[in-house]
Amino acid sequence: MSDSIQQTATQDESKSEQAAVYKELAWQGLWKNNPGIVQLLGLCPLLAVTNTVTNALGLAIATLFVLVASNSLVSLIRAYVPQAIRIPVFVMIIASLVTCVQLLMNAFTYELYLSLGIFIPLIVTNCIIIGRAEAFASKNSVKHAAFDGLMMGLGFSAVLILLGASREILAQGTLFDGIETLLGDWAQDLTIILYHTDTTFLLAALPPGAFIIMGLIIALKNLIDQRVVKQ
Amino acid sequence: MISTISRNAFLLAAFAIICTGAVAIVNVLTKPVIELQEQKALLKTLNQLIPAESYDNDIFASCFTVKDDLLGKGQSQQVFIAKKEHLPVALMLETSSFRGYAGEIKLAIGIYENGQLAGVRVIRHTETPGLGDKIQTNKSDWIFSFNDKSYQQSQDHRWEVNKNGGDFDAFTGATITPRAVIFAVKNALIYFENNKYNLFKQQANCGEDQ
Repeated sequence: MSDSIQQTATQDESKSEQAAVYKELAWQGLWKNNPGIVQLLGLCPLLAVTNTVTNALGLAIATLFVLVASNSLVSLIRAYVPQAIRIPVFVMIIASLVTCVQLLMNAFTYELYLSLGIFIPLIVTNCIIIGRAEAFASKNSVKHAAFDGLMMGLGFSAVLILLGASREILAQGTLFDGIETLLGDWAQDLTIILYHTDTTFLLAALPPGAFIIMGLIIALKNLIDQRVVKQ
Repeated sequence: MISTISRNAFLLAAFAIICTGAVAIVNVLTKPVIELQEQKALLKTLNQLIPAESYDNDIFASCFTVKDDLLGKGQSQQVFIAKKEHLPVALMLETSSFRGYAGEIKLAIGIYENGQLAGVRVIRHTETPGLGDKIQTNKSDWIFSFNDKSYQQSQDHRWEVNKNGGDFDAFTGATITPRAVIFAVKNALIYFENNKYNLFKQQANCGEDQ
């Protein structure tokens, strides 16, 4: 009798420990160690394609998918891959995953594929992916690795979408312009027009605007962190 | 030592085979869908230029490729012929311009058999967003100003932006892009005028070179 109570107690303990691990992973990926605004990895696609929410969302989904899949696969094979050849194996896995995603997007979201163009294959060079594979997935269980990929991907996506939304509003006064290329024709009505302009605010539409807004987002995050420390 | 090396080499080879195999399978599975998507996108442009009810032939089967400096240096371009009751109605040809601000501007141009423009659409471009992208139909109506125009050598000066004395508006802050498009369309019309009789007699040959 007392044995079984103790067993449940340890089970509860390990469960709460598990929950703590997941909580920590989520906290790291979404805020404390956010790949977009803290680790500053993958700046090239981050700054280049975030001129509209639609583009940002498309790249976010693709990156998220690659990150979760590569983390899971790397973690799955970690026991069989000797230390010496781990990097080439990771690179092969990531490269083939990205190629598959590219082909699938070309087949099923054709117009979005046209507008994201070169940046899909560039996911291969996104340092977040190989970074997480090497630093986390190769040392942890599949469940944790997949969750880490999900959280890191969501953190990156949040920054992408925030940046895309602010640039789209500033540049052309709309939100979700061209969303039907991602979701299909039914989504045409989702486009929100906030104000009409004849000329676009070019600075926000071009890469320099991306750098400036990115800087402001990082500043805002640091400000919030400081406030929290003070309290 | 040797055994470690050969084991690692074997493992690497195995991973390479698995990864390449996965990509090959996805490629085979998605290839027909991608081709279908490309055809659908092309047909959409085609029917914007040449109304579907004005022709009755299988326009995809009529496709052939041509190569001419007037249609972009060194590029082979596709031509589609629209016929009604075996008589030529119009054709759509693709053309490329490298005179834009950044990279290639690929255009689809519809021309009636009398040399009048049915219309022009941009297939793809990499011009500056917010400036040069007004050549897209979803950004501005500019590209419709080509509708029903035709080219005569004596009126050559009209194929320019209006600040250079031509018929076409320039965009605020972007003259290079509209000029590139105007010249590409003009050259395509000149090409059409020079080759009109051969073009409508050409045998379909798309897909044969692949």
